[in-house]
Amino acid sequence: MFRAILYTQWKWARPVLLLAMLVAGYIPVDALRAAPYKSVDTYHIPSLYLGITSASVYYQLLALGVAVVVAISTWQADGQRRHVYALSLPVPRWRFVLLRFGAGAALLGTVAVAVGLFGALAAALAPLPPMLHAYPIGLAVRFWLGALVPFALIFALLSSDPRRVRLLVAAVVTVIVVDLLLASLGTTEKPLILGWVLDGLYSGRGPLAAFLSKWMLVDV
Amino acid sequence: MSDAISLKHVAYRPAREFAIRDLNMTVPAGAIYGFLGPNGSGKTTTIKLILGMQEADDGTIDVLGHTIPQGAPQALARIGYVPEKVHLYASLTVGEMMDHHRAFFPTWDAARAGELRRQFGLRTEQKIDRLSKGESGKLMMLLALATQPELLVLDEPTDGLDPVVRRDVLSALVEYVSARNATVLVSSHLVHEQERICDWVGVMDDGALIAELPMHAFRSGIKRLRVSGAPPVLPAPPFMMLGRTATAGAEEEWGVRGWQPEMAAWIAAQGAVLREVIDLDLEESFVELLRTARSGGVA
Repeated sequence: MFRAILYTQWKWARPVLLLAMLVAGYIPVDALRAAPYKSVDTYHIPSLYLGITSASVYYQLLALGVAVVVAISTWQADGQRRHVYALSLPVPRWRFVLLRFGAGAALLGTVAVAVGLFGALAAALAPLPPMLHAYPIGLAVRFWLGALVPFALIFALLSSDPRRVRLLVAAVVTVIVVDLLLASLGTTEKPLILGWVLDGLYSGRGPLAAFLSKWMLVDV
Repeated sequence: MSDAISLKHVAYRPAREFAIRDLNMTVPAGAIYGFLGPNGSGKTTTIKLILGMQEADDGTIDVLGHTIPQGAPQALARIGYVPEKVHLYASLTVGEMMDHHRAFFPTWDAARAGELRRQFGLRTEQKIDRLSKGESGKLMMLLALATQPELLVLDEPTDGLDPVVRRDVLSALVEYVSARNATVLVSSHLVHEQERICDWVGVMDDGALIAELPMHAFRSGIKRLRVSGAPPVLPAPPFMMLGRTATAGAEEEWGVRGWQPEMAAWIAAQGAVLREVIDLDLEESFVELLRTARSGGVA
């Protein structure tokens, strides 16, 4: 059953996944090439650091982009036919949703594996200065977990009742507008609710905190 | 005989302007049940309630011994469903769609599926979004039949198909039903088609089931009588008066249900003359029934 679901989702997201794998191969090559060196002795550490930190942003953007596309493609075919086929299958709804989620997570995993493999390959081919080490597995895991967060958010929205989603989005937009309005009128010092939400999402153990940290292939 | 489908006092309001009200419906096991009704009468909504795709506001639904919607997955494992519109994944090929469907139905008969595919002239590598309407209809019927269902739920399965494809689809259906003694609920507004294959009929109009009876009773019980000299006010007749329309001169046409030849004596006793008893075919009976229901009469 899972294989059948995985196959359909692979077929729908295949072009984007293949492109993402190619990009995953290009990012570390570009990052390590940014350091002008002939040998370990002539390494220019600041240039290398700049290349690696730039790559961190590219990895994050790649994770975000591929997560969004995979989440949308997961439900697109069912949504186009009003989920009639899915609902006619002898599977409880929660299980079908779980199968779709699992397949999406597995597909994101293929890009994460590409990130790890290409990262390891690039790091192996580049003469890194002493004290610096490559962490391709750590990067791949971080990439996968990071991609799962936006995937899960969009997946949840798309698998919910559209009326409820519209209500939720309308409520969120209303709260943000009122919050910004109050801040612009000077009633509050800064947008309170928006501030709390962003703090909750990005700081400490927030689900999007990973996107503010550095996704480094090479580090001390 | 047990019932394959049973709906009791079902109510459901999917939109402000339409509702299913106090729906009671029984499909006996082994029956081919024709579900008739004009477009928008609630047939598809009722089918979605039966399959657990939508949840009723009130009442109980039992399908193959399972209460819906709680037991829908168990019931769906024994049901073959062909919806009104193509519901398959457009980007897959015929072969991929068959493989996908097989993964969810342990009762899938691969040999029969292959046989039906060849019989219907479908190729495994054909992409679903490039199939014609007829080919899509055949593929949906193939998927439904290859799971060897005990109950087939077909929502307008031949709507828009050309006569050749329609004949192929119906003959595959009849062949399966006669071999497996399966129950069939087939919704359609093509009345003549239902007349050929169904042994039970239910008529739906504006969210209510206005008649449910064996086909032979439906076909033989509804007549049109040409009567002359009938008084304007009549005592209660021994048959059900569906409608009474004045025609030329003193003649009238009566639409009646439950007609027996000996009831002619009752007409004579009213001082009227029975000129002719006209047999109505299913379509005319259906129209007569709808007209009565809509004018507030008892169908």
